[in-house]
Amino acid sequence: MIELGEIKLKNRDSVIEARNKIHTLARDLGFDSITAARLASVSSEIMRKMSYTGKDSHPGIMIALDQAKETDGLALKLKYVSSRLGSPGGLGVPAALFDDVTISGPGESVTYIEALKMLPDPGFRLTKDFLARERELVGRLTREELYRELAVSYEKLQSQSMQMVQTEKLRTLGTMAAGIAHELNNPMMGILNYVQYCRKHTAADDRRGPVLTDAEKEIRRCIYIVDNLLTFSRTEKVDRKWQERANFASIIDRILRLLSYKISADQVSIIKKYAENIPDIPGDENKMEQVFLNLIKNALDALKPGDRKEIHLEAQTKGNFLAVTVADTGSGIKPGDLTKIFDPFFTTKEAGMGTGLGLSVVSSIIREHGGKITCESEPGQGTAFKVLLPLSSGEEVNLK
Amino acid sequence: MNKRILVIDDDEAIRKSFLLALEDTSYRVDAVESGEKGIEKVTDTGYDLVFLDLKMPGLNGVQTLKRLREMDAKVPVYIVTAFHKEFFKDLKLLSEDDIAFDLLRKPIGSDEIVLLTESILRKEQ
Repeated sequence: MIELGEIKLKNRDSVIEARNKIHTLARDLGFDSITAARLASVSSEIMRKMSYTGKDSHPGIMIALDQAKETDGLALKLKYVSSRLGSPGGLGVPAALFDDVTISGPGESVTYIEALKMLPDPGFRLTKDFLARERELVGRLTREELYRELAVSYEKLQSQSMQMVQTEKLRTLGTMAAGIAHELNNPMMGILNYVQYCRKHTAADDRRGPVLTDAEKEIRRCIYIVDNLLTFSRTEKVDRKWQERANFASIIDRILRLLSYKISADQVSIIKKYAENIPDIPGDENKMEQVFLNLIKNALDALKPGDRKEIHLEAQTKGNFLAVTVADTGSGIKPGDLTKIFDPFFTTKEAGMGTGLGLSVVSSIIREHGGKITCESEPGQGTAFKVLLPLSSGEEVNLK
Repeated sequence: MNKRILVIDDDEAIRKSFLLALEDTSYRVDAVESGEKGIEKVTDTGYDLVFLDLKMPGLNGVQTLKRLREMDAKVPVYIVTAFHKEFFKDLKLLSEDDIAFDLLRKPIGSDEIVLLTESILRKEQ
């Protein structure tokens, strides 16, 4: 419980106000006698205020009674807890808990708790930790600061719980994907070999030949998708020391050569801004190539005709990490989609244009290398993917 | 004499894949559906190359390989796998015990099967 000290009731022009250094606790409170019934009515008013969720929600309690009479010498000695409980509706349901309170005046003396007991279950619980934190806050902060602090804590809590849900979702999906991928591998190998056998034994002028070639191409596409699923399913960082080293600049050059046709056909400017002497990244060069190929291909796909078409590639060292940004001036990502882009099978591309696995594979590979990827996007302005990769093997971005 | 190849895999699609791919080569290919039958085959007939599945009912790939090596320390064994995590530890132990094998990642097509087989068996000559 937080002790905010003795609360004095002051008589001011027939208006009685209860204040402490932080809150106005009660106003227009007139007592001629303290009865259990009166306390119950005060308490029910408190309960009503508790569920008040207005923007200017007040951490204190305002109690208005019908009669305002001059009263002298009344004192509320109470231990008071003010807090805002998170609610599904949003930030801050003001809630208060009066505990161990005695209100004494002319007439009867009833403890506040007794009065509260007469009411239905208030329907909330304050945990010990919450109260401890509240105590610390109240001691340290002004009311505005308290609000701000609570808002920040609440947002943090919300984002952490979202992250937890996301991690759990990916783990479940990963397990499922790995199971499916393994089960599909054998039949796919069968189909691939059966088709190749048939094609091999089809005469060159047989019109079924090209169809069998198409069938082989399609089954290879399935194999590629399943292979990506297996990469994605490795959600945990592989505990290994990378023996190999990948050179960032040469990876990007290879990718740009690979995409050179599309880059020049779409008239896209590639703007490189690398810091000097970027060290090699410990890791699998092919996988790193897969990461940046996916990011640059996505950037190209996001550029719309008529727009300023630029892809910015930036690289610099930040402490023990290589920080890479792949940014485009394209259509951007809707805020609602931003949290889903790393989910497997999520795609905004037209049917048949993307498997929805690209970014989930990218994020798996980066995780495998102990790194981290984030995305910032402004619809209509463009998107920036930021990648952090450890420069020494065994290092890891603190993901918390 | 024609070289002999043994395929041990519980999945018919995989056995057939190897049989079809190697049909027009000079190699003699046998295919069996379990580790136990594979051991029997190796006991009866000598082989120059074995393609072995990892995940099988009864004797799994790792156990089969151990038995095979007791009979024939030299025959090249290619474990054909889609990388089953649960066997990684055992495979690592095998290599620590100097039990030789190679890994071949599923799925593989007929051209790769033929190329690989030819290169291994040529090397073995």
